[in-house]
Amino acid sequence: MIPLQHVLVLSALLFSLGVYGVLARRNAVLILMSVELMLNAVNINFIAFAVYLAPDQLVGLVFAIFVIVVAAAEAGLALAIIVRIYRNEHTANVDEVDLLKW
Amino acid sequence: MEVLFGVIAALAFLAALRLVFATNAVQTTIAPTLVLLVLGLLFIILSHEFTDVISALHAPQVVFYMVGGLALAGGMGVVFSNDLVHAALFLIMTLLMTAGVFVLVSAEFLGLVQILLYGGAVSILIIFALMLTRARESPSLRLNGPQWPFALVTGAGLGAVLILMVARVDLWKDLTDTTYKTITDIGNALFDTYALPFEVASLVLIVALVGAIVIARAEEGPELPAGQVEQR
Repeated sequence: MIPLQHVLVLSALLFSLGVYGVLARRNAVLILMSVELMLNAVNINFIAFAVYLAPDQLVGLVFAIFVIVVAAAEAGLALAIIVRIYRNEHTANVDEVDLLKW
Repeated sequence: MEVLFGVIAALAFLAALRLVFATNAVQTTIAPTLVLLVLGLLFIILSHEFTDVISALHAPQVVFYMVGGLALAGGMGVVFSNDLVHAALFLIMTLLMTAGVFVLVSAEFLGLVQILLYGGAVSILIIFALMLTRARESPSLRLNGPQWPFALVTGAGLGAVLILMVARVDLWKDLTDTTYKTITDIGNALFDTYALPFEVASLVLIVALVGAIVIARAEEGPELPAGQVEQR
């Protein structure tokens, strides 16, 4: 009923929006939000292929569950690092955290 | 007629971009929904030209277009918004709309997991991080760096390549009336075939939990001998 290509186009558009967000945004939390966008687009892709092309297998669905798990763990850790950096440097802008630059 | 439709759609998109890059937060939130409304109205007005396309639409397909359109509007709000908290709310909208997409393609368990984990936990984490990094109190700098035209070219190029790749492959498969995997099958598989990745995923979660607590813990003061009360 829903053509497979339309779901894949949605996934591609969301992924490219996430890529733009990661590259253009300067706040660390916003970059993390764009990474979550990309991970969601990838999940849509996985599940679309799993349901349309191999509905008798579970690999795609289980892999999407693990992608969600790893994304949640990564979001928690990244936000802890961001909060720690803010406590030390009083900024969440990734351009201003350049202590390791020459 | 298609040229006129494309020109009006491009003008509506440009007006939405102008609103998106505005400094007023109200205009920023109106812009993605304005794009969707204008395109939907155009489609309705010009629908007498596309009667064969419209008569072949099914109800789940129309719902998918609405849900997908809202997900794209949320994505545009995340990357184009000028306010941090608005971007977080747009992200919540995108996450819930992708859960709707999962339910539409008959993966209901994944949709529920998406709502629970993303809409219930990751969103709250992100808003807490915005609170702890004083997002609203800092002066309103531009949230985009000076490299945003190159980022726009990269994102648009990647999107164009992916969409061309999807359009060229002959994968016109519709959903047939097969029996889909239910939550029972997923549960059995997670403890039978995929038991090892399941345990490794729980290890990943424990490591992330402990690591986040250790990293974000407040600095401890000097240790006092037992029995002494800290002088305030």
